Amino acid sequence: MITSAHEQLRHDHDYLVKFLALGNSGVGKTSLLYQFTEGCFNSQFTSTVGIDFKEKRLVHRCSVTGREQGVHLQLWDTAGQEKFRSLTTAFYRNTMGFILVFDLTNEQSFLDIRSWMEQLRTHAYCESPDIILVGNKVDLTEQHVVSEARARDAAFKLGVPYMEASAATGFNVTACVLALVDAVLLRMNRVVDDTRLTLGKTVSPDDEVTSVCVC
Amino acid sequence: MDYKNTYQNILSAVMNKGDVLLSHPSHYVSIASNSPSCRSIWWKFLLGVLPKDPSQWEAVVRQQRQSYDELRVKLSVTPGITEETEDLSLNNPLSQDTHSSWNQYFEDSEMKRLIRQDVERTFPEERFFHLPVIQEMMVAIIFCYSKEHPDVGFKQGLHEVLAPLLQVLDSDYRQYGQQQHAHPSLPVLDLLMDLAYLEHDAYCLLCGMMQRLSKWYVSRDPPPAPDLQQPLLQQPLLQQPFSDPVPVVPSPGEVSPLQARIELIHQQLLPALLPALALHLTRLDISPQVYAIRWLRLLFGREFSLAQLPLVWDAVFWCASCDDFPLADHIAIALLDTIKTQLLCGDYLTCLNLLMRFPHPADVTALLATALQQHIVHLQQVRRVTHLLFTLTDVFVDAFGSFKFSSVDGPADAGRQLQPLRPAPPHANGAAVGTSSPRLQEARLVLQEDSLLQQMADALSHHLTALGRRHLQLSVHTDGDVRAAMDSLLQVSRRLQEAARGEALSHEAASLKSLPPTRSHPLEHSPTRSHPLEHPLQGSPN
Repeated sequence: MITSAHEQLRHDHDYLVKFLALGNSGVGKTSLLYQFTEGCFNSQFTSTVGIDFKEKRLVHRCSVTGREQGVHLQLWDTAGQEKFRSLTTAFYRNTMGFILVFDLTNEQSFLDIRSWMEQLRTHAYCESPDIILVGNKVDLTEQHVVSEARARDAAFKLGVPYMEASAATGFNVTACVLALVDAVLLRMNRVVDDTRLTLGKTVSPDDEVTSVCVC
Repeated sequence: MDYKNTYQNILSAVMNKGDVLLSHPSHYVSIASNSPSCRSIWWKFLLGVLPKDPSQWEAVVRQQRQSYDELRVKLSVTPGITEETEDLSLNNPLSQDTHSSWNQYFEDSEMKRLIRQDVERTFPEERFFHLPVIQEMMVAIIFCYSKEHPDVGFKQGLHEVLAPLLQVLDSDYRQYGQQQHAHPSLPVLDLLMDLAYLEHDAYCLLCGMMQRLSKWYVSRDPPPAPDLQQPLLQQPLLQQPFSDPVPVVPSPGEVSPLQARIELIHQQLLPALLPALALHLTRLDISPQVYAIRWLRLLFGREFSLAQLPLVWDAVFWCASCDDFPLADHIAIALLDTIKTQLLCGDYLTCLNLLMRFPHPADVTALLATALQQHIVHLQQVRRVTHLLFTLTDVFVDAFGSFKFSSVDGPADAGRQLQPLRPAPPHANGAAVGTSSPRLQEARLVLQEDSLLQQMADALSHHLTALGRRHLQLSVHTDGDVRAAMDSLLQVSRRLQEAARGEALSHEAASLKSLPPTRSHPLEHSPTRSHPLEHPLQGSPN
């Protein structure tokens, strides 16, 4: 269920979740995030200089307990070229999940995934943060230069889940983001449990979020 | 008004720029917004594309256009037809050799593809930038710039720096072309505003602009120190979820000029000028990088509408130095000031949204007036400090003859740093008073450099103690507060001067016994030297 959380949720029960989108210039990071937050495609984007930012509140329902959890998602969108550590450190701060995007029609953007992973692991809060690899522009079948098998193989070697999506048609966009939300919340709940921290609610060992329900 | 008048206005402004810069800060408005417009010429002059002497303009422009033609020829690599043709290890499309023209060709093609990708996304709502001829022109200009400036290379954002320049040139040239026959012909204008050379002139203007902006485009670390990354990678998963890793303190070489500037604006200017807002943004933990990177790199290209932008750039260029746009600092502050109320009552997200999707200011003129006002106050402070430093060094030299900073432990560099600050003789060069003067730029650095003041204070105390003139030994406060240090030093300087006069008149013989008896009046000792007190720097602008 994705609704305006203003009406439904008390703020103190929201989880604030911050994601960062990374990948070469022109792979469609801004378009993907726009498709996710606005539900439509905008081909009129200017290129991102520095960093951009979008937000969305959603309600995530645990399929095990049926309990609803408010999530306030902050989506940060970096410029493909920014590599200066002292500048990018500010972007990576408090980031919980990474959306690593390449363009299925551009070989170089796929090859550069490895260096993005290196940069990401250097900056991230831990050595194995939650990441999802997204092959964008799946709708442009004719122009594909990276096969699904090849991308899956690369993702397997990197140890990250892989999904194909299209910011233009909206195919799989929400699924990609929500898969990452799921992973992050799982980790969050696990740590909450391990450390017996209370974040406004008590969590029992069985109370793991296993899926994110979009109803 | 016709073109002749507009052009005459520009010429007279060109001759007097140094004088009017501070006394009439809004003077630039009347020049830039003259109708019919010669803004393109005015910008070329302000950015140093046209030299200070208008009689050289024609020759310079012809030379620049020819150079650009040559550059385009030089950079258009056609693989396979160079002198390497015989050597098949080089002359084949699969050659990995970096000297192969094929390799060069593929590299260039990739760079052009990247440039085109951005050029096609230039101001999507403006039809002008979607004309194929304009897009081709932009790709060619940015490609030439990136190849000619390998230290900068192709950087995202260049297209949005170029776009407003190109539009202003195009609009000026087109308008002139249409009205050419309605006005008395001016050969120099026919040459300067020739639509056939739009691309050439836009390239030169971009170079002039990037000469001051490129430092903010450095987007890669210097080669990393090998031990820096190691601890971070070995760090175990922290128990606290998503907490930050132990911050890596960047060494000075690692702080990019852009970051340094953003920090200057937000850690020094903002708390001084808008203290409540500074506190609010700090409490919300909003890093200025998230919005200010774009502000500075595009020189506010997205914070103002495309119609407002030329007015903003008029002011920014008017205050430009040879390697910087110092007004940018105060425009950033003035922008924040326009939405201060909303920011102050906004939470984290409201503030982020406001800052990152900045509402176009309603009143650009008022905003620019505020920014200029603050910039001038700043320049006056710089002048005061500069003047004070001159006074002090002169007093030292007069009072103690062989005084040298290097005679004190540590600040051996201070003397060298001070040297370029010494004012030029009065009226020798009008431009010396303007912001474009490297001397003022240095003084600007000094103002930010407390340590130099500290060194001066130390040197002062040291010498006074050494000479046993305890009655002059004042406490010099330099607890990191530049202004307090300045005041202290100024006071010391006055007392020194008074003492020096007293000494010459032999009225204070008892307290001055330790001085060599043969010294004559220090301040009148060398009449040929221009004393800083008589220098126009002291003059207070309106």
